[in-house]
Amino acid sequence: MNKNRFVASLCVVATALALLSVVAPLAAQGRGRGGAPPAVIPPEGPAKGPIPRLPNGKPDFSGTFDHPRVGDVTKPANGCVGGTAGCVNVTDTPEISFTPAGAAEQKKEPKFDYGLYCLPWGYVRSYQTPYPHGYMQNNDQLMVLWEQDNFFHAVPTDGKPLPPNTDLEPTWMGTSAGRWEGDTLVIETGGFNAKTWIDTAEHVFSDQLRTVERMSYIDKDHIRYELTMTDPKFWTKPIKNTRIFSRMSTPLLEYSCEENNKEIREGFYLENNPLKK
Amino acid sequence: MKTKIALLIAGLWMAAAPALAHHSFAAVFDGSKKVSLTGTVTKLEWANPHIWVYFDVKEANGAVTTWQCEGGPPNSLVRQGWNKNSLKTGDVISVEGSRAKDGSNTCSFSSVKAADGKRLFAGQAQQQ
Repeated sequence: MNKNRFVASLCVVATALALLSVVAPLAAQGRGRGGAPPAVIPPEGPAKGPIPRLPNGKPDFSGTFDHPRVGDVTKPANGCVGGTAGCVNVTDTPEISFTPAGAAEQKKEPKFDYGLYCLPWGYVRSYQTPYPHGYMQNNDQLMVLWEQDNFFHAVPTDGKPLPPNTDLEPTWMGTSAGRWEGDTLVIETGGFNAKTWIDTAEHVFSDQLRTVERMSYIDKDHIRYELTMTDPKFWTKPIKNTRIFSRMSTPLLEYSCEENNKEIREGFYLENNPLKK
Repeated sequence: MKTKIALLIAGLWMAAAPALAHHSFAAVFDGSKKVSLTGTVTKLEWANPHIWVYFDVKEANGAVTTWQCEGGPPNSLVRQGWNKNSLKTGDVISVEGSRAKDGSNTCSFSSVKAADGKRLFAGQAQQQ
């Protein structure tokens, strides 16, 4: 990341944190900003009506968005976690086809519940949490803000290709590269440390995971979000979900996972903690 | 007041599990060990990642046991219209939930009702 991009990232994050600090007293029921949600997920295509756009003319996804709670990427989901309408998850993968190495890893028990320790939820799973997410965007990057644990992730949108995983530092949220295909933002992400799961159902993945997300507006208040995950080390076939995110009229809220983590502090979870064995 | 601890068949735990956001429900609680408790609130901790309600339960023999039960996180509850004043010290509540695996007087609640029957902390967005 060059200096300008780094400074821009800091500004975006600082603004986001400032917003988080003032919104709690204003919080109320999350409501969509009007307009009936689509009954089904439409194919990728031109948005219905005008949509927000950046100075460079590309779609601007900035705002707070509700999403479906996806506890298991092999199952469909309906409903929005924040109370708006129209969130959906459709899966093209009702069953994960594991390689022998993947099947062996999946069978290992007990798995380390990293979320309990307030470690990052991972890039894929962060989009599936019980709380909404948001975007802040300019011509150069998209900043993803998750209410869950108040994590963020920067996505450069300059069109530079993503290096192979072997050339990326392993991180919880991975490294992303974004490019535009018309009004669709295509985000490729890799370089995961593989210490997380792709969902709450504890589906595992390896350091070879790559994700491709395709984001486009259905209309000004609904985003079509298509996620394809490949992991040749652990899966024989890609996993694909398609979702609808619904715009909220209320901002993201504070969430401090560490504040009162009694399970850890008082130890009544530790009887089942694999780290203790 | 009477303490009832009913052992039910697993499967019902999903009713409480969605309220948990930062850890696996099964890692901490036993969904087959259902608890139904009535007691007097001694403290409410309105903090992430879960609110905690502390209350004293009076047994039939007069003994008092202290329980602690966790619910959803403030961000989600606030979004649903609840706040730190929704429950006060001295309030009498009825709680249903699942007991912690370690056997302590700890639970994850799926339902909290005030003495007048009003349901508290209900309608969490996660329950879908």
